[in-house]
Order: sequence, then structure tokens, then C-alpha cells
Amino acid sequence: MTANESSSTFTRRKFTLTEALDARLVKLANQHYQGNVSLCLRAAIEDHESTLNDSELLTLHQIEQQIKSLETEIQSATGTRTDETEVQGQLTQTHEFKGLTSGDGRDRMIERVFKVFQASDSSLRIADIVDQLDGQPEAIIRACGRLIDFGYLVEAEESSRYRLPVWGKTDDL
Amino acid sequence: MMREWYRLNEARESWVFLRIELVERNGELDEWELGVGNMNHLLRTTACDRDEVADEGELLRRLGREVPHGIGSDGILITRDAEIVAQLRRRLIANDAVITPTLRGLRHVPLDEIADEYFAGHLPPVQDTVSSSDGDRNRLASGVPTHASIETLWRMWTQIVPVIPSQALTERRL
Repeated sequence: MTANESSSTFTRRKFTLTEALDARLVKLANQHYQGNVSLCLRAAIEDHESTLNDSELLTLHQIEQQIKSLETEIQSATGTRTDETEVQGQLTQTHEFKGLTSGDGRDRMIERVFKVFQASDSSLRIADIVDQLDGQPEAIIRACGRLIDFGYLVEAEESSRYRLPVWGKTDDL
Repeated sequence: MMREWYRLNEARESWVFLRIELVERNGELDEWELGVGNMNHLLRTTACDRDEVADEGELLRRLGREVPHGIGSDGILITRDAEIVAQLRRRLIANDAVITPTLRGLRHVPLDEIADEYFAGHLPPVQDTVSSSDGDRNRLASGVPTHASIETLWRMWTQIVPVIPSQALTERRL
């Protein structure tokens, strides 16, 4: 029992529970509160309140720290080390298109469109991209325009088709 | 929109090219020339000088109406050199006829700095004969004609975009 609780004035309150919840409450009270159901319920309320007040963020942070600590221990034990520049390189790679727009998720659409072209062996029409990405034609058209203006896509010889620029490549090859 | 009609937006206003001239004796804006385009097209060019307007304020206001900017516009302003935007800023501040001046929404690429950073100080000549007369005029060390027309800047720009890092286009927000 907390100091806070000991100083409280108690109020009797009627409420209803499902039978299943009631059984769980009794079980928890028996396991942790010497069978005191009221005490168990009060503790549950306090616990839930702290959850609602975002204290879970602190918990997440603690878990994150613990994971980092474990990673360090594993690296020490195995003699391996994650190269920070390598990680940075990977991040940069996945953020190739970050900043091409001023945000609101358009960078991600640009990246998605680019990946469709990366996965394709041939030139594509806008309609092909719309099919593969399941809709959002306006956003896809905008993303294609941005990719062209930043040099990531070029118009293929065949009208209205686009492909990744490859040094020396022509559409005949 | 029917899927058969999905087409690239050929009228996208991705790039804004700006050239300005100042009055030598007082540093006021004397004329400007502006172009809007993308990799495929130079969509439009506009110009205005002091002979067409009552004062510098009107000249600046007309320029403001032509520049496609605004938060989220993602336009890239391309100028011959970095000094042009500095000059423009100075005139926007000095001239109280312009209410709430802003360059927000644009990123700036000065060609002279691109030349220094990625072309060892010298941009290649424009590979087109349409505006070859620009090439005969004075040139900056960067290879950008000092009186280059907007069309020449656009041609120069379309040549160099594919071979410079994309970050060079986006890192300088106005």
C-alpha cells in the first residue's frame, strides 16, 4: 500500500464487472494483494492512469537503452562492431530522396516510384506505376515529374515511357 | 482520370530562372527577366524593366507575381550567381512598396557555385546553337555568360542537372 493510499479517504462505490473480469480480479488479488480485491483495483487504477499519462514513453526509452546496452555486450562478447559510418551510409541510401520536396510524405512516394523503376528491366508508362502502386495517380505523376527534374528518370525513346538513366544505355540495347 | 490518359504533367513549374540588372548609380532594380520550366520544357519567360513601370516598387511587385513560390511549392530558383538573390533581398527590404516580401518555398542554386563545386570552376558551353549569341558575350570565370538569356540558363541547367548530386539542388532553402 502506498503512502498516498494510506492517507486517502475511502468511498464505497457500486459498479459492475463481467464474471470473467471479476474472476481475473480475484485471482490477481490473491496472487499479489493477499486477496484484497479493493487494494488490487486501486493499484490497477493508478497503474492505468500512469499509462494514460504517457509514462509508457519513459518505459520505451528504458527498453531502448536496455537494447542498446545488450547490443554493446553482444558486440564485446563476439568481437564484432557495427561500423557507424556503414550505418550512416545505409541511412543515407534509404534517404536518397529526402529533401526533394518540402515534406508531407511526397518524398516517400518519390522513393516508392523509384523502386518500381529499379525493379523493372524495361521502360514504364505512368499507368504501369499506378497499377503497381495501386492507385494515387496524381501523387505518382507528381513524383515522376520530380524524379525527371532531379535526373533520376529519363524519357525513353518510345513516347510516354520512362526509365532510369544508365550511362551508355540506349533503348536499342 | 482514365488510366490510358495518365501522362506526365508537362507544365510542372519545377525550376525558376532569374536574371536581374541594377541601376549602377543607386543600386535599385532596373530590370528583371524570369523563366519557369522543367527538364523538358521552358514553359514561359517574362521580363520587365523600369521603362514599363512607374517605380521600382511596381517592378518588384510584378516580379513577385511571376515567381511561382509559396510553402510547399518546392520550386528551385536558378541564378547566374549567388549575388543575385542577395541583391534581390536588399531591394525587397529597401523598398517599402512591397508588402510582406518572401522567398519561402524556393530553394536556390547559384550556377557559379555549382561551377566551382562540381566543374572545377568552368561550366561546359551550352550544347545548342539557338542562343549561341550569348556565348560571344562576356563570361564569368564559371563559364556562365554575364548577360545570358533565360533560355541559355535553362539549356545550361538541363545539361548539368544529370551529373551533379541531387542534394546540390535542395540544400539551400530561401
